[in-house]
Amino acid sequence: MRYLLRRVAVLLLTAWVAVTVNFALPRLMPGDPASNMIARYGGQMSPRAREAIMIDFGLNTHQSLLGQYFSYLGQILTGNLGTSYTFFPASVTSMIRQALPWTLGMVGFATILAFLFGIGLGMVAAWRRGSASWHRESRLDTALVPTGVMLSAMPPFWLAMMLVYFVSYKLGWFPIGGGIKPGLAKSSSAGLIDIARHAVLPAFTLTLIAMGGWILLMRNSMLTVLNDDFVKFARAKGLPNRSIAYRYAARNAILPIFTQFAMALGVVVGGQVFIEIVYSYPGIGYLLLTAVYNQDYPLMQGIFLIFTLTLLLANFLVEMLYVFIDPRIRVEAGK
Amino acid sequence: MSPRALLHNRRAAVGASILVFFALVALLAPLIAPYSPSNMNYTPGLAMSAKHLLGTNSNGQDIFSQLIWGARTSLSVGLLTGTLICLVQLVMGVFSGYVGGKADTALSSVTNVFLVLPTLPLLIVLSAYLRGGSVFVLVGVIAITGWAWGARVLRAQAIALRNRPFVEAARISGESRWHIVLAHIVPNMLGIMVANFFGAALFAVLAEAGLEFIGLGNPSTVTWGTMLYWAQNSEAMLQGMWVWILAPGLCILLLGTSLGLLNFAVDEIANPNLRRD
Amino acid sequence: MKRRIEQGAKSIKPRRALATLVGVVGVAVVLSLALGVTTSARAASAASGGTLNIEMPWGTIADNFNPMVPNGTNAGGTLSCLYEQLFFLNTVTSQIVPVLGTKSAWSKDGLKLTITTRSGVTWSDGKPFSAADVAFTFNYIKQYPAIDLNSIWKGSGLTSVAATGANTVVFTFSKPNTPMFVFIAGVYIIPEHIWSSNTSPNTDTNTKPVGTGPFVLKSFSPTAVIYDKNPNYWMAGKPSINTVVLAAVKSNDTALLDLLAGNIDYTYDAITNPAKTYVAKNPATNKYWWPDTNINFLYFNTTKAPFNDPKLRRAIAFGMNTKLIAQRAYYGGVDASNGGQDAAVTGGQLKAWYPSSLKKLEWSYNVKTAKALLKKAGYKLKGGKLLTPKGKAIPKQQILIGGPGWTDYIVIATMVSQELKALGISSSVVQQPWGSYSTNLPKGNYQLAISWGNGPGPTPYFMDYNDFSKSKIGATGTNWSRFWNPTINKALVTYRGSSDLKVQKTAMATIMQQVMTNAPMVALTGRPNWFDYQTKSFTGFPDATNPYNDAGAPDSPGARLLYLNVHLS
Repeated sequence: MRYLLRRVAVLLLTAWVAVTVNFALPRLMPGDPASNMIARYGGQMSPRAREAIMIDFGLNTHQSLLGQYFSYLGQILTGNLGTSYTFFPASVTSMIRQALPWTLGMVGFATILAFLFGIGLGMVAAWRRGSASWHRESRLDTALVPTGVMLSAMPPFWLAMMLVYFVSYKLGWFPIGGGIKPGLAKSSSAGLIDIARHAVLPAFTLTLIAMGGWILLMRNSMLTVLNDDFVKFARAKGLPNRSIAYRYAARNAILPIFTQFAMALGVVVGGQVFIEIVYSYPGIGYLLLTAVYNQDYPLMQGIFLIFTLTLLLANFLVEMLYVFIDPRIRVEAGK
Repeated sequence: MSPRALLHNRRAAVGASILVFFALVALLAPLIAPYSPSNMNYTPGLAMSAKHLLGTNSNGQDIFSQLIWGARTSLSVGLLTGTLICLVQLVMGVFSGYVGGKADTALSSVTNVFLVLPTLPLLIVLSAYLRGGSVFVLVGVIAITGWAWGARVLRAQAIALRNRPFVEAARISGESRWHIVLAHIVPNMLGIMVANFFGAALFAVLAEAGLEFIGLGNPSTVTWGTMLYWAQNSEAMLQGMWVWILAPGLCILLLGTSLGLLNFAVDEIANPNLRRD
Repeated sequence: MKRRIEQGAKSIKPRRALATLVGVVGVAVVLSLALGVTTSARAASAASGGTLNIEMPWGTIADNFNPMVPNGTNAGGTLSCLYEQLFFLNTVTSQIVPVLGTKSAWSKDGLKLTITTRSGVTWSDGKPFSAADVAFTFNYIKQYPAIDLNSIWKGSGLTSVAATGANTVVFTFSKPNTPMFVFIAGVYIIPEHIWSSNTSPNTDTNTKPVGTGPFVLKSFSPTAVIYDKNPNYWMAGKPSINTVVLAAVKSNDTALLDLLAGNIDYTYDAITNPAKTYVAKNPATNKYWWPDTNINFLYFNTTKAPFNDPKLRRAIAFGMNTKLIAQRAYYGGVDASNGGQDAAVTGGQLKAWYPSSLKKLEWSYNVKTAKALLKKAGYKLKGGKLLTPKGKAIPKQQILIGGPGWTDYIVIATMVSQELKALGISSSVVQQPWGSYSTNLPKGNYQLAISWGNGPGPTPYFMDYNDFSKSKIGATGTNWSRFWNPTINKALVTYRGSSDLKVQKTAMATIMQQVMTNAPMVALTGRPNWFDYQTKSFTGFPDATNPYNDAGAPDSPGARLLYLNVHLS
């Protein structure tokens, strides 16, 4: 219990730091977003209208920095992330709410897929290598390592461009872009099938990109475990190979990998941004770029905050899961 | 970890050869490249020929020359960022882990925050604020966003080494903290640091290309990322200008693979559990 | 990611910038009585029905159907499907097409404008439309200056707007200002019975829109808006299509590939090398029409050294290889500018407004002449570097362009930089995001810049007024070169105060002469609208032989005419 409380405290602290960084960033950077905003509004505005809009955007310059900071914190606690410049007068929250489900769905799907495939391949590679000691090299391992390295060195947007051109345009197997055919209801069965059709290529690209890292991580982790005394002991005891591989080694090899979940999720979320653009996918990565191109600072900050909090939460959950799986930590946590 | 161990590792040897190849190309770019990479005065859309080895793009620039000069940028971004990240990790990871106490608590909580900040979005947001600058702005931004994971690993290592007898001995003999870190701790974790360096360089090469591809770099400079940006914007595939889009992509992939292989191989050599013998 | 996102990629139409300027006309222009619906389309024989699929490659759509906010802030279709103006100005033909207004007349003294409104029009909620709605709209804008984006009231001399009958609205001015008709004509008319209780017109998102337009809102999602035919539309038998789907995609490539694959009928995008990448794939159906409606200029900041010297500027004008620039930036899809266009006259207006007496002031690409002019003005070339008459080297200059993704401007700026180098001036290209670019131009925070001309209208007056007025110099102004002089000012006042075409032409010629002598900016290439369409399912699209609209974007008012004219083939 105390362990849990401590983790929650750390979580909150990190969230607070992230929020503060988010507040400070635009204020530390060069440029004047406020006047950019006014300029885009046609420049024909009376001072009164200008003042009103400045307040709308939270660009009220009369407030002290500390005052701004506290009203920012207050706004965030109430779920108010301000007003988007680009989609004025739409709120940042509403824009994010529209885009987030698309990204979460696809990233979630691709992450799980990449994890399963990556772990599986990495495991097999390590096992083969471990049991192939008499002829020094396992072919599978020899092939898988460079493949994993190449996959993680692949520019995601480049791969996506090729797939769109050949698979979607030339072969016509999948839609060229978008998330769903205009007019289809998301909840209808036809809509769901269409959503899936649109998601296949982006998810495939993402899975491929993210898989490389998992293969390599799992392989190395598994090799480490296979070197452990208890595995050697199990072998000496004459336990069947399969049982050693899966019941002991794999389970123990996956554990340390969980701690790298943050990094893995980061890779996926990053690749997502590029992939959404190439596939015209209506998710949050593209929204972030729209914000960036238009210097829409409130939207940019809002999305960044959502990204951060999501990663934070995902890590927290994984950590909790870890505690449940790994008895050693449970014991430690109970102390 | 010795250079000889590296040479005996096949993956390391392949990675190193590719890297050396690109390094030579980058160094000798002015000698190898037949034309100025930015000159737009050639006939656009020429096919491969003796005069233009890889043809010209639709802006009337020589693709081969662009590719050669692009190696220079990509490679220097990769190596420079790798170095910068290593330096940050030295302070935030090794030093922090070694000294412990309050300083460590402070530094490692900073690390923990950066660890959960989503790297690429942060990268995009930062480069949006700092746009219009040179490639070096990108280097700085990538370094700021990419150091945290390695720092955590190094810190754990430093903590493990902290109480080893030889470090204790150095401490008792009154050596300064930085001296101990540099002379006793670092040499014992060089393998991980070198692996980290290649990992960071790989991250930087990909990040630079990505940022340029989405238009957040400076499109008038010639790099592999901007080449892809232009190819994509000029519908290179529909125009059938395959070299324009394939060549820079493959170069990124190759350079990335070489850095990735080195990262992997060094890790393998440094970690007794992964070693074959 | 080229990403036009908002501005548009390689082509970038200045969407936001034009929002304040679109919709312009002068007295000199003949009012077209046709409704902009072509005869072939009017013949009721055309098959009706069908869904017109459109992609707009500039990102997410906001759930906002408020016609009072800048174009692009509201959802696509708000201004082309739902709401209507009094008159539509076709910037390609300079024709004025009646919409909710049918006639307009100025009083002799130019102080009173009377507009007759259409009868038999109903709002989409069934309530009748009348002149009272028009008067309400204008007075509503007066009440809320935040929505007076085109300065209908501010500084225009307009004092009152009143409905004097069911079909008559009278606009009263305190000083003659006949060009104001253009801005009045372009206002989107809103129903009084809905908006009179609305006290926040600039932030309201109007998600249940009620308009007079040919379509009504069927459904909204951030990636697509769908409009259905308005069964009670005032134009009998129109529109012939049942549904318009406006989808937002993230990249020009998606739109182009979908157009090539026949998934969509119409998009707005500057296709690279269109003859090869697009038309050649299926010449029978794949078409584009890119008429010039503006000009791409090289702007000088005429208040800063070294470009405060008109002799230097004119010499540089001779050094610009506009043909090559147009070829590299637009692959033959867009014309190069010539010396005649440099007086801020777009291509279509040259014939009517450009006097042959100015021919001797024209310039054309000739590096020798450029160098000779520089020499004559006292400039010297030393080691490939240009020295001012005082013997000082000209420092490295910056050429400002917008971005990201404005690839045509990157190409233009790079070419300009190469050509300046040939004259001994070194320069670098600086790309700024739209927000900074659009503030730094009016503020004069630049040395050289590439941009479009401001506020082109049916006569050269509009661009001249915006680009060379003293009053338009400033942080939010449109005189980016900061060039003006009393002669120009006087000519502008003369034009405004007169409705005599001959007087107006003389005034314009005076301005052109000033501009050609002083070269505050150099016209480089035309600047078209990027209308791309394919005719597998529908016909009746506008083109060069039947330019019934301005080839505008699907969310611009001109697209309304396209939606009224196209029908199943």
